[in-house]
Parts: sequence; structure tokens; C-alpha cells
Amino acid sequence: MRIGWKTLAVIAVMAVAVVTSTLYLLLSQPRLEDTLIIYGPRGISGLATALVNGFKSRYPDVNVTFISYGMGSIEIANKLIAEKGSPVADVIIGLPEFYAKVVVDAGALEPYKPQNLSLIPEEEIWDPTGTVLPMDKGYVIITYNETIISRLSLPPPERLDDLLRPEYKDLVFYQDPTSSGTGLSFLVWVLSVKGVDEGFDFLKRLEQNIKVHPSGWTTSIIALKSGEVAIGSMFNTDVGYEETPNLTSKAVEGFVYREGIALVRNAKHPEIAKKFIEFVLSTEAQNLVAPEGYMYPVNPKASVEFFSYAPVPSNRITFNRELAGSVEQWLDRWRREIKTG
Amino acid sequence: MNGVKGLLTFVPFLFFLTLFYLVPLVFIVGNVSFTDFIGIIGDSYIHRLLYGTFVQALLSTALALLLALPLAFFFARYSFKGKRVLEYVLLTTFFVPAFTVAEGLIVLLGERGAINTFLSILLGTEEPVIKILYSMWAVVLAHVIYYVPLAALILEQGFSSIDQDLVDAARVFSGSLLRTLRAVYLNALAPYMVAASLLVFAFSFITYSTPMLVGGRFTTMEVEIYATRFRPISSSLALLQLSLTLAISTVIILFRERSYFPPPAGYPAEEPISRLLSKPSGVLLLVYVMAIYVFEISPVIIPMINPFFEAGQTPLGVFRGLQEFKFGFGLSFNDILYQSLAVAVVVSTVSTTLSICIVWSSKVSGGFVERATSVLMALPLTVSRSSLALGMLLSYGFGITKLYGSWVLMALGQSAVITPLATRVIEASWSRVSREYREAADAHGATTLFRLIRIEIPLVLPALIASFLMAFSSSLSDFTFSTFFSTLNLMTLPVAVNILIDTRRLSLALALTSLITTIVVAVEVLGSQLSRERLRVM
Amino acid sequence: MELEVVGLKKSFGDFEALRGVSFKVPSRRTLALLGPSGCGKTTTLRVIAGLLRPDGGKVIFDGRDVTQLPPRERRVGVVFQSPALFPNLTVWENIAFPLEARGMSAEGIRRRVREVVELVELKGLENRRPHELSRGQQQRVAIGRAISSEVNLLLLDEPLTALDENLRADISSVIKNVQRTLGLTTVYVTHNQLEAFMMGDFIATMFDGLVDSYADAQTMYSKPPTERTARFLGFTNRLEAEAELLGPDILRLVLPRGELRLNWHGPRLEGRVSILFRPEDASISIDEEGLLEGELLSSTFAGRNVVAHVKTSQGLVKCAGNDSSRYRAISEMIGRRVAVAIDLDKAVLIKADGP
Repeated sequence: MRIGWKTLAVIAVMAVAVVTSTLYLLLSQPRLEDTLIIYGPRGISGLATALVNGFKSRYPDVNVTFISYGMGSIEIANKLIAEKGSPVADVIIGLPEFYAKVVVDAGALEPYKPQNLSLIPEEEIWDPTGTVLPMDKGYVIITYNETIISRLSLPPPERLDDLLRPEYKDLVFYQDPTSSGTGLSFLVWVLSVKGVDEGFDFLKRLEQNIKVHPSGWTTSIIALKSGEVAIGSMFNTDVGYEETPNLTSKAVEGFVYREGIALVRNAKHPEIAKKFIEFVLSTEAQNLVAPEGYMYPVNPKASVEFFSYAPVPSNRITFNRELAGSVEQWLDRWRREIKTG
Repeated sequence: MNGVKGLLTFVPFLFFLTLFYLVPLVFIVGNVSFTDFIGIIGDSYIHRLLYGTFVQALLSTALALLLALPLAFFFARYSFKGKRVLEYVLLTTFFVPAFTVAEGLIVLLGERGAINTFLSILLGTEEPVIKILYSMWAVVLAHVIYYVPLAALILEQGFSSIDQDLVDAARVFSGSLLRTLRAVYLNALAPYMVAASLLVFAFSFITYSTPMLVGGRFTTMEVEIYATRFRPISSSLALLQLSLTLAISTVIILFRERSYFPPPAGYPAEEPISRLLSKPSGVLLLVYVMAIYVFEISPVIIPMINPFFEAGQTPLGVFRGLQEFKFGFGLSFNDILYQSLAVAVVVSTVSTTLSICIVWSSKVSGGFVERATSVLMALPLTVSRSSLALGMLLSYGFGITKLYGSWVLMALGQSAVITPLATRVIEASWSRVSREYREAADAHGATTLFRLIRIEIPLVLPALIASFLMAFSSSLSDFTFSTFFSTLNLMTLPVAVNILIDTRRLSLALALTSLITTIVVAVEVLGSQLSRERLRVM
Repeated sequence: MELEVVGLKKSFGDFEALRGVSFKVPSRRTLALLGPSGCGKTTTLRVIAGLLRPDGGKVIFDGRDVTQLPPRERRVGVVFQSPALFPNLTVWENIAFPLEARGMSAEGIRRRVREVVELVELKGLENRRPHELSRGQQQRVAIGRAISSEVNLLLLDEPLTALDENLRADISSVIKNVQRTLGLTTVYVTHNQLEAFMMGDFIATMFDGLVDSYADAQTMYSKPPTERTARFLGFTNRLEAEAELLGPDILRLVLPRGELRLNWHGPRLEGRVSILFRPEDASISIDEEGLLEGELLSSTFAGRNVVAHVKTSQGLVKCAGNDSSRYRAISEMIGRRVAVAIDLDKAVLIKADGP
């Protein structure tokens, strides 16, 4: 059967392109079976990358990778729980304090006490069962655009309750807690301080002043930059960020968002996993936290020079362990009563 | 076509449907618990969600079609230089990331955005005039921007199929313009309007990122599914949504089948554009078309150039920044670019090849198989990307095979969502290959395979090129499957955008988004040059 | 190769296109299938080619039933009404197509295509694409493609219909040349009588999905076997008479104006008969001698002859047999009673069907 030479040429080019692409992709991917797999939320992939790179320079013969499936912290934790029969991951990082109990109770994690835990101060260790080890922390505070606030001659906000001020109508925001870690921290902050039912009541009243619930950090920045909003929850390290130079805060009170690292039960590579956990708590690794993101190291020897500009809140609220219900229930309730209510 | 051979022709289509859709969906649906499902059916919150989603989809469809009609008429009737390029460029909004358009909308429509500022100055008011951002209307507007080009492309075929002699005869005999419109236009356009409506409605119904970005308090079913993504309840929600969209689509498709007219062979006469300018209504149409282009392109262009204004750097400076950034384990920006291109090449090849097989085998069989395939291929459009990604993760990532984190899954997902559209484009062109050529080939000794390679493929080559490039663009700008299946070693451009966002490098993130948009535009322009024909999707 | 079709039936939904078509074409001969549009001749052709499967009946090549064979295996060449040349191939490649499809060697193809190009007089145009050719040239390529591989049968579907007058002669001579050279059995479908008689050795007329008459061209022209065919072929004038056979060779006809005796070699004819004759064979008689008479209604100058209409007791008769030199004389007789002379040798006598 004769085929025109032009057709043959096109087919040849296509074939070469496809084969090259496939080979390239095949060869550039390591086999995941031999790899130490770290689960974590998408939001800390920057830090995760730095940690993995750092770990690899210490142990060059080890294959390591970080997988998030594009998921948030709650979702990846749920994934871990779902896989507990035959886990894929060896280590989980970025596990929020307010969700740790769920994962521990589900039996997906293995308690482990690394040597480097001695470097971490007592008050930073928040898991009573000793399963989830502290990794880093951040401060969620109430920030405001000082240009707009002074232009409107409004008093700057200091506390949660200030946000209810009628003068702040259509100026306030906090992120959608379903899609944003910052927003979730804000929600947990409110509930920790006021309890669940009063907390939701507060949020309902707050809706009067809310302009929008941005889906994440980028949309928050865009909303702030465009002047759509002037007051809202952000991490303290966002203050004075190049994109939002007018963003500032009284930093009177704030929520301490804490997340941890833990060993997965029945992990495929437990020994290397333990080494990784050791590494993450080491000063060397903890030094990577600040430059790579918006959170603080828990190891006091690690440098926080990077954040010298950021205001640390005077009154620091942590997660109230006594709260009734689960994060998922709160999120469902938030979507039903607050967002669309 | 005897029995066995007839069955064999179903194979490519069944292969595609099963591997790419049924298996992942089964894994999702398998998670559904009866009590959960009954629970959500009675849940008033879910009712509210469905109602809102439905209304928004209806509005999006109606508006998109309305705006597309004059545009389609214009493209069908008038010829001018650069028309093909314009048509391809118009499709850009369909392929750029939703984030791009959303950002454009925010810049344009925000209370302190471009339009309100302009109107404030014009009308001398302090208060912003237009307040539709962060509401359902912003979502509808975004959908209109995405889908007017697609609708116009489909409707254009409808207008082209109208015999001008028929119009003239109707004018002469009925006298009134309105009656002419009804008698000739409505009749001929009906199947095309139905096809366009189905596509726009389906896409609008399963929308996720747009409501998240610009919807404010308005939220859709898909957002809820995404929010409960890895909990059992999401499977029930996904099943409910899937049932509804399938039901609606089936009704629409059956309705279309009843009024289906096969497309005419050949190309109808076009008039030169100068004729348009001779009458006032013509000038109005031209103004309208230009306005539509501004409306469509500005939300795409603005995010492209904004980052450079903001960052105060030259494009070169920003891209140097990209080059220096360390993305993943050992991955540089160039690596990510190559990986994206490699995945895109694989996806384009797989989906184009699959589409050819599906179209050919259905045409060879003809009759019932052909019609069933054409109808059923529209159904995958109603499955949301995130549901499909989750299903693939469960089925191929951890279930039947252990491919989690593999580029194969990424390519699988991206191929799955673009193949139905690619099939449509190829089928539209194939139907236009005159029956006489096929008969001439058959009568003179050609086997079906010889005829395929020597005659049919060369004749539909422009459509093949078009669908290849469509798949390429779609793969490059896909966020869903990329983020689901990426690892530190496997990243595509959209994933890189996310990483830049997560590390608070907003200007770089936006710059990279504009790079993706630029590539898509370039690919579409290239497509218009390589493909000697106009793009047809029906 | 001898072609025979037997009882072909084909319906499209409710519409019966073929209702039992049968005919035979002897080897190396041409059959012209003649009939008005919509009579089923194209459908018949497509069934013979294998492009359509009949609902009933058989297609037989040299005694072999090929009805179930796909077109590819029948080895026919088809020239369609619109040339249907493959737009993506050159003239050369179009002609080479059947040869490539059957796997001929490159050398063989080269030789054969060169021959065909000569045969259809397309030398110098081998590298052109169809859209760069004139209609006539396209048709020639189509013919070339139809015959390039070894075909048993050549089927032509109104090949000259879409061509201008001056081209028709051209193409028809190409077709004849091809047939003569290759000695192919041919079926030629047309609605044009002139073409049919020009191209066909045999003619079959078709109406409403059935073959009405079948005869060799000569006979069909002079003595069409049925009234319907006769009318279609121009025997538009009709008379009725009573016939009686007086002996084996003599036929007596009783007409309004008198009676005749003819030498008769045809079949038995008794009782009421139709006499069908062409306008060219009827003329206004100068010396009042004629079989008919009636009132002269009109007289028109038609170039070579005069066309006159006469109202007779048996209806309107059109006479075109008078030379145009008689125009003035005849015109003066308008409104008067005239006699019509008919050349009965050229008339067709058929038993009248029904009252």
C-alpha cells in the first residue's frame, strides 16, 4: 500500500516526538517503590522541597519525594487515614494541630521520639500522645490597609470583636476555610475563643461586614491590592509584603497555627523515615523554615532574622482541645450557615 | 457489515469510554452509601445548591447563545483577510486557565477596577456603579466569556448551512422579516442551537474554580463536592450531580437527534466584508463584533501584561526570575517546561489517535453505531474534572494499578477530557467528505484501510491538526490533573504556578500564568495557519 | 464479460426505486439505459457496481452471481455524474489509485498510467490537481481512473450531462475510443436520447423502476416496441385504427379517412391498434392526399422545416415534415381544413391497450 511521502514524513515526526517525550518522562521519574514518600498539604510544598533537598544532600543515596495531590492539610490527612491498611507514605508533614487527634485516633501514625526532640522547648510540643512532633508554627492576625483605614478615618482593628464594628461594613474579609489554611485557622481561632455555638453566632453577625471570602492567599492579596477589602485575617509575615506595602497590624491578639510531622504506621521505609524526622527537627532544617515560607521554626536555635519585620501578637491563642465536634463538621456548618446562609 | 465486524467497530469507542471514564467513575460510585445518598436528596442545603447551580447554568447558556448568534452570523456570511486567525484566537478564552480570566474580571469589574473608575469619572459619582463582582452574575459573566467563542463556532455552521436562495424566496413570499426568520433561520439553526446549548450548559453546570474565584457567596454543587472531596459523602454528591447532568444531557441529545439535519457538502458562498459596510445594519454588526472581541480578549490580555506593569520589571527580568527559582527536587524551570511539553505531546497524540479511531470505526459501521457513538461521546463532557481525577487516583493510582504520582495518570486524565471535543471536531470534518469520494474509492478497488489512509485522512487533515493543537493547549493549561498527579519530580507549568503562589511569589506566579496564556495563543494562531480550513466543531 | 441483472428490487423507505429490473448486456457491447429522471437508472447502476445492496434480485457477471460481492471484488470501473476525483491527488495519482489499491508494482503502475493518460488525451497534465482542471479534463481523468485497472465492466452515469455542448462531442469520442480499444462491456446511463443512440449498441428504456423496452439501437430508433417508449423517443403523434390481417403479409387498416393496405411483416395485429409516428414523418399534404384531415391551427417557421399543428378528429397532430420553403403557402391555410400525410413505413403500430 503506497503512502505519500509527505504523510510518511508527518507520521515519522509525530512518532519521534511521542517516543522522545515518553522516554523523557519515563527516565526522569524515579520508581516510587524505592522512594521515601512524604505526604503533606500543597500549601507547604515550598518548604517541603527545601527539606527534601536538604535531606538529600545529607543522604545522597536516598530517593525522597513529596506528594500532595494538590490537596489541603485536612484532605491529605484524610488520605493518609484511608490508606492505613497499606500506607503509601512514610512520613506526613504539615499536619495541623487541630486535626492531629483524628489521625492519631484512627491509628494511622506510629509514636516516635527522635533524639532532636530535646532541641525543642517543652511549650512547643503540643501532642500529648507524643505521636505528632512539632514542625513549625505561624501567627494568624488581624491585618488592615492603613492607607484606606486612615483615609476613611476609622479606628484600626485590634481584637476579634472589633471586626463587628458597623463602620467596617463591606471592608472585612477572612478566607474561605474550606479552601484556605489561613481561613481555617481563623475559624478555629474564633471557635477556640468563643466555643462552637457562640463562635458561629459571632461569624454570622460578622457576615454583615464581610465583603468576600477569598479562596486563598493569592485572591486575598488581589482583593487587598485592588482595594476591595481593607481588614482581614492574614499571617503576620504577610505584613509589609512587597505586593501589599500598606498592610499592617496592631498585633494585639492572634492565633498560633501549629503543625507537625509524624511517622506513618507500617511505613515501607521506617528507618529512613525516622532519619528524615530527625533531620526536620535539626537546626539545619529548621533554618530553612523561615526563608521558605511564612511560618516560624520551633527550634529556638534556628534563625528568625528573616521575619524581623513581622509583628508577633501579644496575646497568643492556641487551639482549644476541648471543642466539641470535628473540623469537618465545622466546615460543613460554615458552608451551610455562614457562606450561603 | 456482518455481526462480528460490526461489533469490532464499537471497540475503540468502548475502549475509550471504559478505560478513561467508566472505571474511575465506578471507583467513585462504589464509595456511595445508600443512607448518605438518601440523606443528601432530602437536604435543603443541597437543594439550594442545585437550584443555584442550575439557574446559573441556564443563564450562562442563554446569554452565551444570545451573544454568539450575531457573531456566528458574521463569520458565516462574510469573508475577509485574517478571518481564520481571528476565529482561532477567539477560542483562546476556552483554553486559558480559569484563573487568568478571573483575574482579568477582578481587575476590570472590581469596585475600584478599571470599568468602575472609568464610569465614576464619566458620571462623576463616588460610589462604584457596577457591583457584580463576587456574585452569581460574575460567574455567569465569566462563563459567557469562556463559551461565547465555542457557541459561535457551532452556530456558524448553522448559518452556513442555510441556503441563501431559500432566504430570498422566503423574503419574497412572506414579506415580513420576522416570518422569514422563523421559517428559514429557526428551522435550520435548531440542531446547532441545541448542540451549543448542551455544551455550554454542561460546562457551566460543573464549574468549580470560577465560583471559587469570583462567585463570592454564590456557590455551586461542584464546589461542595470538591470541599468534601475525600470524604464518603462526596461520592454521593458526585453521583447525584452526575445523574442530573446525564439526565439533562440525554434529554437534550435526544431532542437534537429528532431534529438532526446532515450537514451539506461543500462551502456556501460568502460575501466580501465591504458589502457589510454599505448598510447601517452592517456597520452595527461590525461594531458589535469588535465589541465582542474586546470583551473576550481583554480579560485574557490584562492578566498577561499586568504582572509586568506591577513588577516594574521587563518581561526578560521576570523570566530570569523564573529561571532562577528552584521548583522541585532538582527541577529547574526549563525541566518543568520540557515536562509540560512532553506530557502535552503525548496527550495530543493519544487523544487525536483515539479520536480518529472512534470516528472512523463509527463511520465505517454507519447507522446505529454511528449515531450512538456521536450521542454517547457528548456524555463525558458532563463529568467534572475533579471527580474524574479523584476516580483515576482511586482506580489507577491505588486500585487496579499503582500509578499514583505518575505522568501516565496525568496524561490519562487530560486525554480523557479533551478527546470528546477532539472527536467532535474530526467528526464534523469527516461528515463533510463527500460520499462520492468514498464510493469512488470503493468502486475502484480500495479496501477500507486503503481508503482511510489515501483519501479520508488527507481530506480531514486540517481537522486533525486543529484537534491536535486543541489537545495540546488544553493539556498545557490543565490545573486539575496536573496538581492531582504531580510530585517533586514531575511538574507541569500549572503546578509551577501553584508552587510560586504557595511560596508567596505572586508576581512570578502571574508571569508564569501569562506565559501559559501566551503559549496557548501562539498554538492557536499556529493552528490557524497549518489548518487550511476553518475550524468546525459540528 | 456478459452482464445480466435479474429482477432487481430496491426500496428506500416507502419509495420503490426498482421494482424488478432485468436485462442482459452481451460481452463487449454497450447498453444505454435510457429514461427520465427518477426512473431508477442510477440506482440500477449503483447496484451493479456494488455500491448498493438490492432488496431482491441478482447481478450476474459471466454466469457468476456477484450480488453479495463488495464493489472492490467486482472489478468494475465507474464514471460518476460529477467526476468525484480525489481532490488531494494529482491526475496521475487519481488514475493510479485503482492500481495502487490492488497492489500493482511501481513499475507496472508507471507503465499502465502512462498508457491511460495517452488514451484519454491528458498528456502534460499529470501533475495537476482536480481543481486546476476544466470540467472536460476532469471527466477524462474520471474515465481514465475507471479503466486503469483491469475491469470487466465500465459503468457510466450521465457522464456528459453536466458538460457544455461543444465538450460533449469531445468526451463522447474519448469514451468511444476507450471502449473500442479495450473492448469493455459497458452500461451507459442517460436521460438524453441522442446520447443513448450515439453510445449504445443496445438500448433499454426504464420508467418507474422497471425496464420498459429492450432492443438494439436501430430497432429501438425506428420501431420502439412499446407505446410508452415510443412516446419517450419522440413518436408523439398517435392515431387509432382498426386492424385486420388479410393473409400472412397484408394488413388492413381502417382509418377515419379511408382504409389502407400495408405489407406487414410484424407480429399478429388484430382489432384496435395505435399508430405512433414522429412529427417529422407527418406533413401537410399539398394535393389533399392524406390519411387524416383537420383544421390547421398554427404554422411556425423552424429553421429547416415548418412546424404545424392540426386539429383532427383524433386529437392534435404535430406535423414537422414540410420543408421551410413551404412556409408561406401553409400559413395561408391557417383556419382551413387541410390533409395530413403520414409516412407509415416509419410509424410504429402497436396493439392499443384498453379503451
